[in-house]
Amino acid sequence: MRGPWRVWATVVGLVLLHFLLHLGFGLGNVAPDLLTIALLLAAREVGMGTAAGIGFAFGLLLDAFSLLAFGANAVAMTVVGAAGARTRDLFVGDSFFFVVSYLFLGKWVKDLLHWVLVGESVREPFVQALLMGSSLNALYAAGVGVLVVTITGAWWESLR
Amino acid sequence: MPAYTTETADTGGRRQVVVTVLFVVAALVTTYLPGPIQQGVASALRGSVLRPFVTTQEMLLNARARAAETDVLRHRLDSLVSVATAEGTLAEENRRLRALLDLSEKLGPTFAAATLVRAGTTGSESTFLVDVGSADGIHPDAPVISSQGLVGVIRDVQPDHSVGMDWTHPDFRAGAMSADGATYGVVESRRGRFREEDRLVFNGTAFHTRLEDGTVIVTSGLGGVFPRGVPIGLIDGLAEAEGGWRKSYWLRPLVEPGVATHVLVAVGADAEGPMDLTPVFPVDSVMTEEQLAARERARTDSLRAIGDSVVMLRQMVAGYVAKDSARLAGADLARADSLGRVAALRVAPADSARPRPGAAASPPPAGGQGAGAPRPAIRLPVIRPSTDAPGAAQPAPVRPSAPATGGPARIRPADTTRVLRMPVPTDTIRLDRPAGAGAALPDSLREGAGR
Repeated sequence: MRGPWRVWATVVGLVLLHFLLHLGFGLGNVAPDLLTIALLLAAREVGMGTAAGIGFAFGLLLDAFSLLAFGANAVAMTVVGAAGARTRDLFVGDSFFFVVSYLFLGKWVKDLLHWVLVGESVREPFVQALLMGSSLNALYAAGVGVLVVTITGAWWESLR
Repeated sequence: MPAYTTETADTGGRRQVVVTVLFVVAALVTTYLPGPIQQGVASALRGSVLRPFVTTQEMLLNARARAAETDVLRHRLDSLVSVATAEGTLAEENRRLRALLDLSEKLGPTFAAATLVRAGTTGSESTFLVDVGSADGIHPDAPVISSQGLVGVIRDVQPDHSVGMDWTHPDFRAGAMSADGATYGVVESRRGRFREEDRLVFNGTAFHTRLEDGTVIVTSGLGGVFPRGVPIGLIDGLAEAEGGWRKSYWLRPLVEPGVATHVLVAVGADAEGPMDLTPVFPVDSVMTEEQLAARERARTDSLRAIGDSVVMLRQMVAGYVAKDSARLAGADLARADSLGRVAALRVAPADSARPRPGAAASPPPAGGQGAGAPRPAIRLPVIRPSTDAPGAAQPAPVRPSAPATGGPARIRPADTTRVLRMPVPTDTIRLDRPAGAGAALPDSLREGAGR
């Protein structure tokens, strides 16, 4: 791992904050998906395999409370982590639009994969779940993610 | 700016791809693991890594539940306090009603239970209304009793209600005797300086008899109005001994008319004759002096508690008054300052109209007035300088509020109050008042002298 300490501190803080808000405070969807944001930030710092491993660990943590679709989050986060690391080899950007797009698409793709993997009996209709719910959640997460990386400077630190 | 490339040292290697594939496969495998294994993994994660967050949520839920319980308990406590507060009255009423019920059972159908109310209007003192009347068999002069003794007598009977008087009425009389029947007399009301000092007197007793304090006095049945044996009061000292032939004693009444709300009224015709209620009111059932003293102490304690509350409220009000006075004082200072500024603005144009020193073209006219200045329509007071200092310069007389200054004429408003006032000379006032004259000039004159 070659990222500076500020990025990893941000990632660790986001992970702790995610579980504190979602699990400790029980806020549910009111709190943004900071775990995916943390994964996407970490994926810009490490290789594809390491990012996949981080995604796998995060996914297992999410699946710890999933009774009907255990493993769906693990697969989705693993793929998103690997894809996030791969994007660094394809795109290098520090613009506001790129950050927002990266975080938005990463969150939306994660929801898409999860929606596909949870099975017919559990998932909600595509329009309701992905086009509406996931889009709003992705926008929310991207906004919060941009705010976080702006405050911490984690994104631009990783470009040095 | 790093170059766009797909082959970097970290991510481009085959090793990374293999690791990625392995993790993806592992993730896919987890989805197809048997249920117990999945739950074991999930349970292990919940109990280790995620345990602090679960504990946090449990703590928050418990705190939230405790907060809600605290609110509920506070509301419940308030309700219980209010119920307990009202319970004292209910218990007292219940006690009275139970005592009256027992008495009613002993008396049988010869007495009717009634509720006693008081009009509370001027002139209705010592009288009361009961909700039974001639339709219930009530007749005039029917005795009214409570569980503690004699309350009064009915005077006027209507079909559905009756009017009676209690023992504090000046016309109240009742033939009475000591409980052992040794001493007879008449119980009557004796007015005090105020109603709370009204007392009962056991009058007309034989001079040679002596009644000790605390002796129970009951109705004697003589006179045909009151039944025999109804307690009236306890001997509370010798009132007077007259002429060596009679004595009278103060009585401490057993019944307080002010708190009697449920009573029994005798029914039936006078022809039935007076009854003997001695078995109904045995001597041991009458309140003793200790019980009366305890009742007095309880009442005194209540009054003392009320007094403490009043003192506390008074202190709070005094604190508020002090704060309010300080606030008003600040407002008065601000108002005085504003008035001073307004007065200064009014004086400024007048000063500009006066001739400036060194302006020879317009010497000051004699007398301080302009030659063409019109005389005021009313006679204004003129403040003249002192003449006691011969060497001093003689300044020109000053006319307060003169029209030449541009200010409005000061006119004393007409006195419509017709209050006798000392005449004050306002046309000529000496500025140098004699030493020792402590009185200050009136405000209006002092202001005029300042100009």
